[in-house]
Amino acid sequence: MNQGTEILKKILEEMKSISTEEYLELHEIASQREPVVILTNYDIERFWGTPSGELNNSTTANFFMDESSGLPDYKNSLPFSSSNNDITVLAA
Amino acid sequence: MEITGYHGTDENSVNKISRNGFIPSDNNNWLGQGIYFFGNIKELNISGKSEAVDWAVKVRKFRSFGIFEALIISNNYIDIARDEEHKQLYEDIRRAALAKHGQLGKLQKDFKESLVFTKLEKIGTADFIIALTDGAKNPPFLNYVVRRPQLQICIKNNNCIIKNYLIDCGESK
Repeated sequence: MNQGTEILKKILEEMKSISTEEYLELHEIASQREPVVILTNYDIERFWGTPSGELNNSTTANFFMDESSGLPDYKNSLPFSSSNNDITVLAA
Repeated sequence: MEITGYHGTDENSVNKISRNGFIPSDNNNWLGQGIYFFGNIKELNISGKSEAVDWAVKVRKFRSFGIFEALIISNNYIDIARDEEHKQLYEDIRRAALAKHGQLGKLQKDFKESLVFTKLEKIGTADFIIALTDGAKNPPFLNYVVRRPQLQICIKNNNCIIKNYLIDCGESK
């Protein structure tokens, strides 16, 4: 059996009841690390704009979507360069 | 599971790896301590080898670089890129961590996702972790409007690298 599944289940159980002290310790250690953004199903659906969640290799512009309007949220799609106003939509 | 990974490095490390094998990075990297490879994402036509070259030339700016291709095999892994159960568990973990983050009055933008992997290292880990990450967080891609999905493979146990070949060498222009 793949132990990875059991490890993830154990982390989930512990994370649900994590103490403030341990959370702050993990947060502090994580702050020293290179940032990581993990893309999962939800993210792919949101960022790539495919309602079914299927990967879409014809979509090269993957803006954050404004969930209330259903339109691309251009401002918040630029979290890494807020001064960059040169927006080009490469594909609809 | 069997997966092929691509590792970009500089000229000096090419010789060391060829002689002595890989040395794990420190624990400050994305998914924690380990040996990092890029994988192929067929659905997006993204080549792990191309990502490894980009990383060596554009991110690390090595003048001379080499690319290793490795065959990785183990049934003890965490795959939060393609394994549906693992992805769901990971999302639940992230949601639980975010809930605690909010309870402490912290802003969501200050959430450090890598704390999940810090916790993972405390508990014990699988032989390797596969994750779809956003490479746009790395220079020189910081001004990318688009996301840059990368398949990262972090090897925690060297024994799951079954074969390893130097497949390309080059000079950056």
